[in-house]
Amino acid sequence: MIINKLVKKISNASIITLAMGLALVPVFSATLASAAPITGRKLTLSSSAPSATGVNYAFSTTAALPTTGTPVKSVQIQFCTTASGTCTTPSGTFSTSSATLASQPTGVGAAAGWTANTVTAGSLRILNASNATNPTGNVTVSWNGVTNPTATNTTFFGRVTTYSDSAWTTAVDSGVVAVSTASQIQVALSVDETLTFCTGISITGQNCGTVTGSLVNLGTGSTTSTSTGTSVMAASTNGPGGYTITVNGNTLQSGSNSIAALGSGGASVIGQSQFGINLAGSNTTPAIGSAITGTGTAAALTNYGTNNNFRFTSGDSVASVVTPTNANTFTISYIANIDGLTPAGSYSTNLTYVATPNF
Amino acid sequence: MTKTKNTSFIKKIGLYLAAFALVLPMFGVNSVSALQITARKLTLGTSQADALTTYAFNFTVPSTTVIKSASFTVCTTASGACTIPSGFSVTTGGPATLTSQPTNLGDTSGWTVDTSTAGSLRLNKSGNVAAPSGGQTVSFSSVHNPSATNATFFARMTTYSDAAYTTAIDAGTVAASTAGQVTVTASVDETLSFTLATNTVALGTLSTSTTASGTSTMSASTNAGSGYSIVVSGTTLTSGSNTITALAAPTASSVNTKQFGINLMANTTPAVGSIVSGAGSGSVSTGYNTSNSFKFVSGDTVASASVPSNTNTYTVSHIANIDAVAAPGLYSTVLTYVATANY
Repeated sequence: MIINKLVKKISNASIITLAMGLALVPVFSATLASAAPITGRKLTLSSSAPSATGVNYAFSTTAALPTTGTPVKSVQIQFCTTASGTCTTPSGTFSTSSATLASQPTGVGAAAGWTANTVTAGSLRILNASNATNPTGNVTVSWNGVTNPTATNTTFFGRVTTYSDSAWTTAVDSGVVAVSTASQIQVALSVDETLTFCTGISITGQNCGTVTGSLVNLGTGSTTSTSTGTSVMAASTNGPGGYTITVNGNTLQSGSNSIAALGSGGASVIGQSQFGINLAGSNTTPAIGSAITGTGTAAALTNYGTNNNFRFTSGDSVASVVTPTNANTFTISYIANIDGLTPAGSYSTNLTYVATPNF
Repeated sequence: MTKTKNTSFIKKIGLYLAAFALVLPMFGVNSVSALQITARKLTLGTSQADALTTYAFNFTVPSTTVIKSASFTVCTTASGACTIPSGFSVTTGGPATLTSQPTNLGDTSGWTVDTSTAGSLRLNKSGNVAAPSGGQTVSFSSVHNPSATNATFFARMTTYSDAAYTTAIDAGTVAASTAGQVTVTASVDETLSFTLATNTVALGTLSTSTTASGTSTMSASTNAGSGYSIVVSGTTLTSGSNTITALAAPTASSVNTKQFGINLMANTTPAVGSIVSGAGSGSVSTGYNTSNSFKFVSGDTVASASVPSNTNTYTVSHIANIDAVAAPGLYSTVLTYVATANY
C-alpha cells in the first residue's frame, strides 16, 4: 500500500518534471536544434586589455559554412560567460552598443548590403534581408568599437549563429569560440643621466673600456720639420643639451723655456716656435689626424675643426653637441715646431680634457 | 564594551601610523614630491683623477619656494643607494669652500658651506628669505676628485626649504667624468747650424792698377744659450815662398800695394760684399765690420752672437792688391771658418 503510494507519487513527479522539461526546450534551443557546426572558426581581438574600448572583434573561419544551400540573412555572435547553457553576458564594461562593421563580411553571401545591429546588448549582429546568395568560402566578419569585459585574465565565449532570416530567428549553422581578456604587461625601465667620457692614446671604436695610454711623444723638435702626435677621446651623453669638451693646460714647457702656443690659431710653419692642436680629420700640413668616428652627432668646434689650422688656448672648448648623442671618438692632433732659438731641453705639458654634459 | 573596542582600534591605527612613519624615510619621502631641476650641469675645473679642483653647478629650479639649504651628493650611480666614488672627498686637501656666493639661489650673501657629510657638498642659510630666480650657480673650490680615471660619477642635487637638508623642494642629477691626462712631450736637442756655401774664391789675375776681389758666404744659427762665434784661420795668399802681405789691422784697399784682407760688409772700394742678412742676432766682429776696411789675422773672430740665434748669412769679401815687384806665380790659401756654440 505504502509502496504503491510512493510509486504513484514518484510517477506523478516524474511526469510533471518531464512535461515541464519538454515544454521549456523550445525556449532555450529551438532555433539551434538543427544547426550544423561551423568549423575552423576563431575570434580575434585587437586587444585583450580589460575594459579596452574601440576593440576590433574579427570572426573568421578556415572553411566555408557547412550549410551551403541556404542563403544567410543574419549573423549573431552572442557573448556569454559560458560556452553553453544559459547565457550570462560578461560583467562590467563589456559592450557592443557602439560596434560597427569594420568591413563587409565575406563567406556569408552577398558581398555588400550588410549592416551592423547593436540593439541586443552583449551581441554582435549583422543582417542583410535581401541577401539571396548562398554562402561560399571562408567567413570573415569584423566589428570595430567593442568594449572588452572588465575582468582580467578571464575567458568568455562567443556563440556564433547564422540565420536564414534577417531577424536572427531561424538558425542555420552555429559554433562557439572562446576568447579571453589578459593582464597588460607593464614594462618599466628607468634611465638615469649618463655621461661616458674617456681620453687616451688608443681606443677601439668608441668603447671607453678599451682606451689605453696617456703619453703623446712628439719626438725631437726640428727647425726643418714638424713634430706630430695624436691622442683620442670618446664621449656620449643623454643630456638634453648635449655636452661640451674643453682643453686645459699649458703649452710645451721646459723649465722656464716654452714653445709658443698658437693662441689665435694658424698654420704649422716650420722654423717657428709653435704648439697647437686640432681635431680635424684631414690635415695635410703636416699629414696628421683622423676623422671623427661613431654614430654620435658631436663635432669639433670651428677653431679646432679646420684642416691645417692649429690652435691652443687653455680653457677653449674643442668639441660639442647640443643634443643627446651616441658616442663619438675624436682624434686630437698635436703639432710642434721650433725655431733656431728654442733652447735645448725636454719639453712637456699635461693636458686635461673636461666633458660637461648639459641636463 | 563598545568604548573598549574603539580604544583598541585607535591604538592599532596609531601603531600602524608610527611604523609607517619610521619606514617612510627609508624610501626617501623627502624627495617624493620634489620637482625636477632643469638646465643642470656640473663643470669640473679639471677632470684629472685625484685632483683638487672646483665643482661649478649651474641649474634652474622650477619652484619658487625659498631655499634655505642645498646639497650636491656625489655617488657612483645616478639613483638608488648612494656609494661615494673612491677618492672623492669634500674634506681631503680642503675642506671644500664656496668659490663665491651662489647666484640666484636666494639672498646674495650669507651662505655658508657645510662639509660635515662625507661625499656631499652642501650650503645653507637659515635666514634666507629671497626666493630663487632665473638660473642658479653654486661653485665649490677644493673638492677632491674621485681616484678612478675615465670614470663617470653623479651629483644628486637637492634644494630644501629648511636649513637642515630635510624638506626637499626640487631635485636633479648630473653626470660628470674623470679623464686621463694627456701628457705631451717633445725634446729639443742642442743645435748649431753652420754652412759654407762656397769653397772656392777665384780672385783672377792680380794687377797693380786694380783690386782683385771675390766673396764667399756662410750661414750660422744655434739654440745655445750664449750664442756662437766664428773664427777664421789660415795663411795669407802664398805662392811658394812668395806671399801677398796680410792686412794685420783694418786698412783700406790700396792699389799697387801688397794687400790681402777680408771683411763681412758691403763695400764700395772695391765694390764687393753684402751686409749680414737673416733673422738671427749674429753680428760681424770688430776689425771686419767696417765697410772698405779689410783685415786678415788668422785666429780672429769674424762674427758672433751672444744669445741663441736664428740663421744669419754672412758674405765674406776677399780683396788682394799687388805692387810692381810682386813675384809672378799662382797664389792661394786655404781659409777655415770654425763656428763654436756656447752653451
